[in-house]
Amino acid sequence: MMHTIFWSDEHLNAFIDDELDLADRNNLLEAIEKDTSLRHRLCETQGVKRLLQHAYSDLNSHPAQTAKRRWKRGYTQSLMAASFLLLIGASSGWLLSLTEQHHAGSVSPRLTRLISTISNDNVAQEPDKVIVQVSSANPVRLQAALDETENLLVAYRKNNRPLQMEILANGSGLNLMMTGATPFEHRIEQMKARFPNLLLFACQQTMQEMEARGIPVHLIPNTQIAGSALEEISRRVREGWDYVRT
Amino acid sequence: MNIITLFRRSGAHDEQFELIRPRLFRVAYSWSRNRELAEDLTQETLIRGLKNIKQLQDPEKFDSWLFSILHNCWRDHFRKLVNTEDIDDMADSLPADGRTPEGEHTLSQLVLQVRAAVASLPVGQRQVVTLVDLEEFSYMDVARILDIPVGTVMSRLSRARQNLQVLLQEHATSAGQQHGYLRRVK
Repeated sequence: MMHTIFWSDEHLNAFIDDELDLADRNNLLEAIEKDTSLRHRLCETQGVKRLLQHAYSDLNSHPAQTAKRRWKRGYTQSLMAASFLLLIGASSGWLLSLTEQHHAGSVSPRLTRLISTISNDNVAQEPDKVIVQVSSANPVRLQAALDETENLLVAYRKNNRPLQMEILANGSGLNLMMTGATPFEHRIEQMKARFPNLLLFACQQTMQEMEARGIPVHLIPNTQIAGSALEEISRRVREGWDYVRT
Repeated sequence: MNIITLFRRSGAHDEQFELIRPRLFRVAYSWSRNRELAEDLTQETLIRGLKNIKQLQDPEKFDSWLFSILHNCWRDHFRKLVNTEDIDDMADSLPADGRTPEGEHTLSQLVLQVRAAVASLPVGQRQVVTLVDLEEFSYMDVARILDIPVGTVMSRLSRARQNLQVLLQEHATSAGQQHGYLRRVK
């Protein structure tokens, strides 16, 4: 007999905030795939969270940028309306990334598996390929993303195995690749100089959104631009890349 | 030389206090929507933190400890304003004071609308949703900071996000209707 679980708003919030235990999280991920209205509720709630983060994101961190902003008064209202929907839309991408992770297993075991397989197979053939998505401006997460990326690159090099790696930044994570905003510019440049097999991508959609808000986007040199994070990730996953979201 | 400089002569924890200052300000501003008040609350929090740093038993809890001090400063601010009412009773009902900070005209309408929506939430909801979303504290940490049960954190957070969703969708709809520019964004 089938039991339908009722997912309360508290459950959905806990899911979004990464407060659900593993069993509930997996159950909810299964339910999301079958239940459109549940998916919609989750995306809307996540959209509100993103909006709130966005509204206070540059309160103190980029005073110069705030001062330089110039607004075309004619379209700010419509921009506001569109931005709300855009952020809700972006939340669909967030949800897709979660469900993809769910099918592929959790993030850490995947990295662990990748590292563990290197030493077991020294025959270099097709390179392994990993794309790491960074969508948070939290410096702790940014640092974790760089640490994990570097660990993997070092491990592959040490074992003489080929690896192609990309870091894709979107949403608030774009800060990671912005000159003047990222606390890791020097480190990223060092990593790029040390590992030519590491490529950086910035989400064009996020860049356009920021520029529309009057925030100039200056990327770290040699950062490439991807049309949208969701498209790039979908393409890479279809091509067989491993996908890691931090 | 300001008072914080004097306190900081001890040298210890300087960097931690410096790093956390903008985060305290951001949350204080999201609670008060008043730049001057947010600066005062941040200043007061840092002074109390520096004075009482020896009471911090677990250095790992530095952030949540300081935010709990901010919460106390915020409560004290209301006590000064309203001596006869209990702040705990007000937590679910008191809206923001609605004062507009200087210079906000340069910000986007979206940012202003979101901040206004946050400010219109009852204090208790506002505190929980900003600590979870802006500072990414765990529910348990928020419960400790605000000295409330985790269940209350969850219910306040849920109500806060529902309220924000309704408010922001109303704004988005009315903005689209006023200007006729709104189209579906996929």
